[in-house]
Amino acid sequence: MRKGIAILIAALLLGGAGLAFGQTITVLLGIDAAGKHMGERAQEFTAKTGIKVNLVEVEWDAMVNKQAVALKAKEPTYDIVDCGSFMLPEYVPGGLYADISDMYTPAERARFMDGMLDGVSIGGKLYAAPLMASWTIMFYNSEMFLKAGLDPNKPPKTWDELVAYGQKLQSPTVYAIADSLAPGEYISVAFFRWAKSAGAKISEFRGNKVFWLVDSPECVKALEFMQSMIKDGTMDPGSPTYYQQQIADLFGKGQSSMLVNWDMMQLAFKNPEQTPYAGKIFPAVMPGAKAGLSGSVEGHEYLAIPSPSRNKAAAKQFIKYLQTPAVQKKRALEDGQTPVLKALFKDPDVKKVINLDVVFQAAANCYYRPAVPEYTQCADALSVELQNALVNNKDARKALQDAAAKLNKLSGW
Amino acid sequence: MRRPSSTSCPAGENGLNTATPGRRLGGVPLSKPPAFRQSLSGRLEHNEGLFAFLLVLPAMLIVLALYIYPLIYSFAISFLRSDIRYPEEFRGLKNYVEIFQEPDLLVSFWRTIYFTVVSLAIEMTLGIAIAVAFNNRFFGRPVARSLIMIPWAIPPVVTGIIWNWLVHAKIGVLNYVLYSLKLIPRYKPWLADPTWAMNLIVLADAWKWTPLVVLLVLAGLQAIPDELYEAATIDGAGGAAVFFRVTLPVISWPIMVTLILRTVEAIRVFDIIYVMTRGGPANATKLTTFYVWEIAFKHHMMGKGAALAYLITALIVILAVFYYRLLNRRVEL
Repeated sequence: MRKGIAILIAALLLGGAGLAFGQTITVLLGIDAAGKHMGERAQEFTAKTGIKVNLVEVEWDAMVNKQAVALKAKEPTYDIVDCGSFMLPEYVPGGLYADISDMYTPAERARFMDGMLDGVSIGGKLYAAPLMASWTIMFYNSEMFLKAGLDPNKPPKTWDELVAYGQKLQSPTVYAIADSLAPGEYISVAFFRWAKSAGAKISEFRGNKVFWLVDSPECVKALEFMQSMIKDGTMDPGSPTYYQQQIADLFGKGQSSMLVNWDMMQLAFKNPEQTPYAGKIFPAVMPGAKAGLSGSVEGHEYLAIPSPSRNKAAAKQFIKYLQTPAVQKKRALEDGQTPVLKALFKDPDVKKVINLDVVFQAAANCYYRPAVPEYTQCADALSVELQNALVNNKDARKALQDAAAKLNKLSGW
Repeated sequence: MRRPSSTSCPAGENGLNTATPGRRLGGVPLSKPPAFRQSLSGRLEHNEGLFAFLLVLPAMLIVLALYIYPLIYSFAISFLRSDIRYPEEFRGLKNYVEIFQEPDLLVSFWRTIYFTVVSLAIEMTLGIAIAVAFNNRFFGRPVARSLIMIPWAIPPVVTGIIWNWLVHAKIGVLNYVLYSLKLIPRYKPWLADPTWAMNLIVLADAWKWTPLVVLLVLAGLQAIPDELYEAATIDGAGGAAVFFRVTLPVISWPIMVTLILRTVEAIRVFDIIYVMTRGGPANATKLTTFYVWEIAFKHHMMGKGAALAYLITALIVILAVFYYRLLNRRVEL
């Protein structure tokens, strides 16, 4: 009996020693930020440092939920979490993200794309590290353009052209354009793009509070245009139910001729395993209400270290590894993710995979979602009113007036 | 059940060990002071209540940790400002008051009532009809009885995914069939239409849960002796009369039990909505449980979410008591 107990204790001690032998960090990522090769990057990092990386890759909404629950419980569940700059005002005031200002020297900071660190700095302190740059851009299927008698090198530049193209491109089962207008952040982001392409000013800071201008004439014009596209068959009427990955899949299968999505999709649309139209799909900037206008939304992804993490040093090591030029280049070439290092913007290999000219044109016309704690609530409230207009419960003007009232109330006005 | 007395440390008739502390008993050294062993084994020997308590203690601890503690904790936070952005703060009944000021709450409540009533009506009608049909002998009955259970065995999330694809705007089977039969001019985005979205969720839920009704009602039907039917037939009762006068009164108890179970489940529905519509379009399928999830887990206001969850719980308890009394009254009759 005693011998048995001794053996059991020895086994437990050995097991415990085994567990304590190597440090492990747990990283929570959205599937887009992770890409398809994050596992390989993690293995390379482990081989170099001995630090094991436990990757948790889930869809964006699930990632935000998991993160919020872990942060709320103040448990050291994750050592690194994926985030957007608009999430920081919700987590930083409560001390849920660690201050990582000491992570970079001034020279290191200067390597990042301009403005990237400003977006995740609060009160002069840095709370997240850039992982990938991202904007929404348009994609079009040149083969479908050609079959419809359109110039495959001339994507529509204005809304009028888009509608005219739409008349030629649509059939009983195929639409000119599909958009992700599902409830929540999806339709709100889409609306921001269309509003921006109408030349709208969507929100502005007045003091430390955001004031929403979603009932401006330009915003109303954008929503009316979205309604009219669904009515005349230019836009897939199923759009209010589609998520971003769904429309990318449908577009890849030739179910629509144009699509607005994140720039990282450029690589996927070049892959014959992903679409039979590989090599015939090209990026373009989104058409505007008139020539010279366009719209986009910024969606950079960052990595933050939750305050309860017990492996902050190891977490910083892994983040820095992901930001090395070699890894950033690999992520661009293998996953189509726009790098965060300025030096790579001139890299010929990167430029072959990612059309940076289109990306930066989109960036020049992009809307930055306001970094305020109530942003998610505002996006949800806006989403309901936008869908009210799209399903004809309200006219566009009334829906946006109601939205502006709700959003400004949520923002403390 | 009585615990057998220890062989290594025999107890006296009065339950006390007669061995002297520190002495060897039968050549075996005592590992613990005999007085302790004596009193514990003695107590267990004579106190069945204590023995039973010790047996159920591990299970009780698990239930307390996994069920009672979260229940108490969530009730406690319903009185707090438990928001991820701020430190916790006692708010008294403010969360409950604010919930009633939410503009969408009443609408979502009525949607929940609609969903519950319609899905239960479909499930009960179809469930009873199928159970009655399956109670008769026919070729392939065992196979049919097994197949009907499949939707019930499928997890709700998978049910949502299946229905989502069935009615998909672009690649759904429903659109393909209707378009092929020239019943619709173009593929229809069913879930983008508020009325269709709600009713398709009702149908998906009814599809999943009708087999449970079949199972429970069929169990009740099988308890009816053939003699009752024979007697009714001899008395000249027709098919409808046999059903309403013989079958229905006997299966009313299983029907009531099923109704209670399904009402509670229907009010709590979440998975199918999350997968199929996420409350859209334009909040058309945002039922109260989805509302709770949105407040607590999307907007990170746990206190307010917990308050709404407890209001739903109160509603379920009231309904359960009502059903229970109705059930008792019918049983007494």
